[in-house]
Amino acid sequence: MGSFNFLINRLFDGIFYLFISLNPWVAMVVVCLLTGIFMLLIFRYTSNQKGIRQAKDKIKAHFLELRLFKEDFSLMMRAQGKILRYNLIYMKHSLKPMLIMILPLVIVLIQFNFRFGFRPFKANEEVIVGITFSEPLPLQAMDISLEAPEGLEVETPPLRINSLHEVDWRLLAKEAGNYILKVHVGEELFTKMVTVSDELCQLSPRRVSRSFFQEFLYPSEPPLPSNSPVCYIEVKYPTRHLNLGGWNIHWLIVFFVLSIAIGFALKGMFKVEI
Amino acid sequence: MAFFSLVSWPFRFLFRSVRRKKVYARGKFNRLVIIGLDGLDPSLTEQMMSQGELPNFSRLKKEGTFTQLKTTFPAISPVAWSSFLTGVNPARHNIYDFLSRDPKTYLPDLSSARIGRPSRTLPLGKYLIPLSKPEITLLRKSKPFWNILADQGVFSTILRVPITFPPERLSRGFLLSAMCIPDLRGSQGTFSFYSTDSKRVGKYTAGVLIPIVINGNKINTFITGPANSLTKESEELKLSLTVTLNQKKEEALFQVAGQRFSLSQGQYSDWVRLTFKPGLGLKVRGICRFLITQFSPHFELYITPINIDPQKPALPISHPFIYSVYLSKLLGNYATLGLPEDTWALNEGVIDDRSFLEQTYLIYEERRKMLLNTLEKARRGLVVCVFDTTDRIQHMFWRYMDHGHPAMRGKSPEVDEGVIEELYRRMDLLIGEIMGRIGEDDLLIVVSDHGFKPFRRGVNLNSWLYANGYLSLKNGKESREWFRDVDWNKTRAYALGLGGIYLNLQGRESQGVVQPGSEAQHLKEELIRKLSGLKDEKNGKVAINEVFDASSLYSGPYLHNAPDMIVGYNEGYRASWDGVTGKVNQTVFDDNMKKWSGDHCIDPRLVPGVFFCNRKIKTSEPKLIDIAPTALDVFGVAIPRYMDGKSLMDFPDKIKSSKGK
Repeated sequence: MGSFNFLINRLFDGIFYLFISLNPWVAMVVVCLLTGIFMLLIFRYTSNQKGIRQAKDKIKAHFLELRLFKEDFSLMMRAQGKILRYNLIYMKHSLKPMLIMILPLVIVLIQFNFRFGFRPFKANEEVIVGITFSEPLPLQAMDISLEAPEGLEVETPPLRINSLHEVDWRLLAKEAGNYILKVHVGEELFTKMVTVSDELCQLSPRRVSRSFFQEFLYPSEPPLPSNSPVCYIEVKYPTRHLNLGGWNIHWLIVFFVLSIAIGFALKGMFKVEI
Repeated sequence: MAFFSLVSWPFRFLFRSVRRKKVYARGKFNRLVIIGLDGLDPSLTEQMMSQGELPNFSRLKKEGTFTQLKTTFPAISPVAWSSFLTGVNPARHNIYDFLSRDPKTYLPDLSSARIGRPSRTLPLGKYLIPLSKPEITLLRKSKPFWNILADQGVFSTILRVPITFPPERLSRGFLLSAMCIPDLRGSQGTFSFYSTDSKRVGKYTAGVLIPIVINGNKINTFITGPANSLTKESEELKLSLTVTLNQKKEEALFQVAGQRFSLSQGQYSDWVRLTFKPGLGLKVRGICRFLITQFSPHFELYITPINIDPQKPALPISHPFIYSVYLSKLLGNYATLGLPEDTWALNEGVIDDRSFLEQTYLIYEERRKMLLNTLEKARRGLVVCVFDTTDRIQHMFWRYMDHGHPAMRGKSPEVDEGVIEELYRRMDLLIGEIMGRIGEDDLLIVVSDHGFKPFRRGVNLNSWLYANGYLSLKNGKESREWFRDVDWNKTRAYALGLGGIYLNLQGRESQGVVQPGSEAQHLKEELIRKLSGLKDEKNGKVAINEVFDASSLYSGPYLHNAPDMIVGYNEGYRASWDGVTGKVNQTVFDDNMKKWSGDHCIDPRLVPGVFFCNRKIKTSEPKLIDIAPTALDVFGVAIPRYMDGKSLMDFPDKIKSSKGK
């Protein structure tokens, strides 16, 4: 999983390299365009294009039937039934490309989430860092400390919350940079990346313990050692919103609206029946 | 508005239901189904029924009626179907032939429809922006009986009845137009033929030849579409076509308009959608089929005329407009051209008998599906559907039945000799399918507009008129097509179309020389006397039975547009190919060497149609013009006094069973 994540991270770093210092909208539009084209191509080559076309034609025909035979109640009911039937057939034809598309799409969404879902800290902004253990431990008695590099300053002593198996610190970001925090738990040492920047870059809100599913969902950093009592170390980055005319919109909404719109706009050019 | 529409729907539905009940309560039957089998011949039908070959027709005959159906003068499809649908003689519907003539220019016009450019345009650079719709006028007069029924609340579905283009508005029902719908080029069907053989270069009637060259294994050529009506220059729109040949497999890969498909020799493609872009973001869409007619030694490709795309029609071809869209979405693409079976491609040797037959049956299947769908959905009212398959196959394959036909000299049949008998058997199966889909309360009528006879010898009436001093030429002894070398100042009569002779009448024709009145009447009588009983100089057979004075055949407000005389050719004869197109030469009689070997444009008394019905009728001599009044009578609608026909049914009382009420 580590190698896979490494490759995917590098690939997306490469894609986003050009947009690092640009407005996130630019990156969003371009990646939506690429994603739209990518999805179109997958759809074209994996779906039953003829079957989809036929099913769509039948659906349209029975819709027209509703209009043409509006005086015949039973015929209208039958037309409704057929619309439903051909919709199911349409969905059946779309199932294979959907299944094929779902994995790459989830990977794309995860990558985008750590770029568009959060923003890095800015200089002079407060940073909350927490470490969560996988089982109840005597937190008050444990030797837990946080070591911050130059550029970050630990402002508070550890806040130990037994009920959540969690220990938190507040830090102050003093200047831009990519930093490695060191968390000492007894004899053990764990590290966590923190990014202070104005640029669009991949963030790692959470470094998780070794688990296929967790690593898949949080690919930005290598996992914690497998025999560690720590469940994850979290840096609470602020949420990023895309601003459109004074409206803050969640990136996921923008992504789906844009990529679907682009897909529909380009389907003729790529000769894809959706 | 949408909310109001939704809320009021149950009330509107109830109101319509009550109104419908009232409308159909007057009717004697629940549904009237009329099937037109263009050109189905009564003699051949009877002969095959007597041999036990047509069980469904025989059942109709046994349970109801089978008889000959008197056709119109002349026995030509546009005339006959116009009388069928209006119930009047040609002088009331104004259709006398496929062609009419412009008395100013003596040039032919399509008799039933006129398609012109938009009347107002705005010049903008190289473009001419249309500010009005193109002029599409139906020249057929009088009212179809389904319009009368619709006005009374009876629902009608009319499928491909000839002379229904442009589609007329129907207040209750659907109509899909037929004969005279043009192709995308505006013609009545122009095929494209591509060949690497330089010897094939020449002029093709109803087709264009495009020479092609193979580079490596590729052919780069184009498909010619309509003339660009948006530009001042009006150049033809073209689409590039690339053909990649696989000589080993004898297959070709076609790339056109973003589509790719492979074909082997003799295999028709599905309908291929073509989109032409005249500019300003507009698109003109058509559909056509491809066929490789030969792979080696020369590669040859035939493309059907580009039909108007029924999903996105460039011209209205149905009423309502969405009806053609509905049919194509539901049943797939279908031929929309008025005469979609490409008889000229076969006549010209571009396709062979087998390919023509396949094309014709592909079109038949499309129509059959439309009809069966209609029978399933239109459960009350009127259903009319006309099949042209019978006409086209008999026209092109009568030579197989007519031993010794000039077109078959030294040749043997390319397909099964019994192709016409097979056609009749297929029609019988169709009737069986229809009978299986109608109820006890439905009336079924099967008609043909005329029968069929062999066409062995052609008569060029213009040559005869020239030889006998009625027609003069400016120079030499021949005239090119459309009377180009005729001296109108010395011409007293001319023939145009398949059965009409016109006098060159002063005040009517632009260069008329014959005085109306007694001079015209004398000339007419003289021509009738000389031409009636005209004998073939080669074999002494009578070629023309009788020439009829139009004024004694017809009566009505459009009599002035009729030819002055109608020619009744004898069996085996017809207007020659040259004569029809206004050529004048030294040959009056010639052999018909074309595959178009059967015809009906002869003395109408020799080519009656068929009449089948699942009920008895009150007369033994029904006429085609009786169908319209019969249909009105079936639904209890008063027959207008202007109709020339009479109802064939004698209704003692309501025939509907309780089930149908």
